Amino acid sequence: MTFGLTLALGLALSFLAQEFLPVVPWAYEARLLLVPVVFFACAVALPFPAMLLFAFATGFVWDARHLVVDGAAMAEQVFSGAAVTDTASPSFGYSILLYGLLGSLMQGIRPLFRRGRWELPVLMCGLGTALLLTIEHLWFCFLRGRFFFPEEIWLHIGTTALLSMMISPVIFLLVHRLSRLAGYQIRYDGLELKRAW
Amino acid sequence: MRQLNIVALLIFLGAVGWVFSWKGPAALAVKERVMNVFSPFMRTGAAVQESVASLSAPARLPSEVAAENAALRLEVERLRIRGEAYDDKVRENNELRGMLGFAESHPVRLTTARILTRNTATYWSTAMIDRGTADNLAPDLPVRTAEGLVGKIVHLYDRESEILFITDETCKAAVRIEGTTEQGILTGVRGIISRTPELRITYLPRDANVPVGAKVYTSGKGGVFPSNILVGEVTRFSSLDDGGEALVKPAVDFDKIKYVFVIDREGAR
Repeated sequence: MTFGLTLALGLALSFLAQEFLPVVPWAYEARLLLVPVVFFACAVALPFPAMLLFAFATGFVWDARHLVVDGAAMAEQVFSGAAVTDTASPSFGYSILLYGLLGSLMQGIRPLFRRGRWELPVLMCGLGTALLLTIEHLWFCFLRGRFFFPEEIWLHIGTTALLSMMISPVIFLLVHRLSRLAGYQIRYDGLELKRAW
Repeated sequence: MRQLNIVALLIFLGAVGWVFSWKGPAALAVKERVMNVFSPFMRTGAAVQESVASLSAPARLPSEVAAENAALRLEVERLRIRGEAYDDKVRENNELRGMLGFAESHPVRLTTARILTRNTATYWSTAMIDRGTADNLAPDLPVRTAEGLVGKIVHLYDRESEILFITDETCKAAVRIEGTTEQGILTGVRGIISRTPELRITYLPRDANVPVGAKVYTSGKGGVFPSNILVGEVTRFSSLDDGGEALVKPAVDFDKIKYVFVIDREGAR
């Protein structure tokens, strides 16, 4: 419980810290996305139900901060003056699904994280960030009826993912330290299951 | 899969469905509350980033700053005189309109705003400015710089607003091409804002005569953007199956803008 609350506090702080992080202009406007990295670290440290709760909270606040709600409907008043039904904006809450999906992927490598093996979790942090941005881009393409993949998009996604990978060991270290301080053992459910059999 | 996990997954999916069912106003209300919490951190974050950036900026001599200050003061005086002449013309115009029975035109009010942060976390081309409802702003107000059209306000908060750049593909404006009778709808192109954003004018006739280098201005149709604001200049025209399409290089350098003007008409609301 204490560990979960501490991680929730850490996640909230990451949202605030994100506001202080600048973009890297020479890297196609890439930016260290701290919030997804902290979420991924929480996702490998917490059990599945708690991960879903964190995914809900993260996606909810992420959309509230970044989504342009009904942007197209408000913009599309040209010539006729009549508002057009909004089909170009993802619905509020779509990030919750994305975080839930990516958090579930991170759950798959929990056993490794518990053993203190960070290579794959670090790699997955970068991959998760890249997937987050790619799925989002594909979603936008689908909603707006035009698929296109300019080089800049891939370079932006790649650089952002690389920055996430670089910071993730520090976040994992912090999560491990916090679990020790809170007296929480990052459990390996798979072994428990074997023992039960 | 354990039973508890299945129950948690069902609750999660139910909660997501509930959030998805929210209509625009409900989502906007939630967004406003969350953004008001973020507000002080956005401002502090912007100030910190600016301070850090200024450390690497080359130092300037006090004499240079004083000379620039004097030149700017003169410019302000000159513009003040022009403003008075403009107000006089608007008054005269309204008197004449009154005689002819036309609706009175409202003088333009410009609110200066500073760009706090740009949204680069998602694919929206948006930015936060340091003016909001407290400064009497409203949704859909157009935003410009001295160079040309920047975009419009999409979300309003107490002390900040979010502007949607004209480079975003959901921000559309009715435009006309100078020197021709052609009019079309201008949209942005999704991508990275700093990589020479291009704008597109669609719904042009296939056989339209659009010269390269022609200036593009807002036409004023649609009611969001006032007429005659420079948007950019045509770089290419191509005939496609479903009509003509012109590519436009924006007049505004979106990488460099720090301050913008929000256009409002006094008494219009």
